[in-house]
Amino acid sequence: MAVFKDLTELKDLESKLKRSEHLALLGEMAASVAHEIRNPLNAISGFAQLLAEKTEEGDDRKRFARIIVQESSRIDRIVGDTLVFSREAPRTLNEISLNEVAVSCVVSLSNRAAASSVSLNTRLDAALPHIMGHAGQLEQLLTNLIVNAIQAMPEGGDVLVSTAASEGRVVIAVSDTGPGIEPSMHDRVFLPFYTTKSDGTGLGLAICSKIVEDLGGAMEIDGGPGRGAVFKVSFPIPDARSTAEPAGEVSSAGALGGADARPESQGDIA
Amino acid sequence: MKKILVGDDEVSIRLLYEQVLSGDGHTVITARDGREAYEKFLTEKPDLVILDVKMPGMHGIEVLERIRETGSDVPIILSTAYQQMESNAAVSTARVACFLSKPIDIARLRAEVRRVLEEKEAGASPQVQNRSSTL
Repeated sequence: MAVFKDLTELKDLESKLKRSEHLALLGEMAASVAHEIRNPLNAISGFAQLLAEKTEEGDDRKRFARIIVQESSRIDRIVGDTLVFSREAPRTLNEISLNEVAVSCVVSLSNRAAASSVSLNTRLDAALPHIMGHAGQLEQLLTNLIVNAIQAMPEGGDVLVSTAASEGRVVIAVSDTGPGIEPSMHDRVFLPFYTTKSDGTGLGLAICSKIVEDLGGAMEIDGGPGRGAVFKVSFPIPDARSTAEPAGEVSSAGALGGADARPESQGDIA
Repeated sequence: MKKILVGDDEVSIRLLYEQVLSGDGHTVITARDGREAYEKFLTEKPDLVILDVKMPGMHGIEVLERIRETGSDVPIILSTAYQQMESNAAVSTARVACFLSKPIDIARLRAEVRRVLEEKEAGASPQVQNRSSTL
């Protein structure tokens, strides 16, 4: 019996190892394919931009050249999202303040929110403990959720990024006043390539889900049709230490002045 | 106008840089790999160098390091299809005027080239401002 158990464990281990090797291989392939695609894409997009520049306004060719530029940009987003999705989780984790991540993302996306008549605000817990994570990954996670919320409200609305600590976990939530998500769809939206947008890559929330999983967190959707959507992400607090970090109210309105400098490949979500 | 050296292994990208930058009145010299880029840097003494990171033989970062070893502080722009080059230790230690990620926005390329050359003219060390640009 003991031998049988050991063999089962060995087989489990083997299967995990194979899976991780496959994932590593997939990551390498994605990086290589991304590079090979982006080189010719660079030329296609660049020359289309030149054509658009050299053509008179009102000339159909100018419009066509701009379409080439737009669609090249879409290919680039797909390549970028695939690259992020297949990338190995960072091995080194640092103490991160989710409040700082929230402020940084809200500042970065303030112009984008304003352009969509969306009011982007924060409500941050001043005594929020740090979590163990990777700043780049967490910024990507939050940017994807905020961009999603903005895109869910083409007529404008409110997005609130809030943080809180409860029951040994740190919670960060992004809520919007958009149409909400049917409860039956809550699981499906995290699947890779699931999208409700005509130009979405369907990888945004899948990337979020992977990041949360990599960091040992959990993500759930609240709200429902007509009540807006709330994406709640929670992470375990690593130990009893709790360091208060910059907190308070940050608004997209006012003198934040941040450019829309979203990191690459965070384009369209879900 | 200035002399700009472009090192990129893709012929279409070299042509694109030539079109854009010579259209702005600059003299553009091109190199098809890292070794050629380094040799042309030595012989042509350009005012600005634009290097693709991934080139056969000697890659862009190696060219950058060799150029810095000569004591030159010529502004260098790194262009790459890879993401997050800014965090590359080898790159952060050598002075890089700016990073351009591919696909390149030609308006951004022009603006960065203008900024870097103006800063050089003013005698200031070009600072990394726009850390990456996308389409």
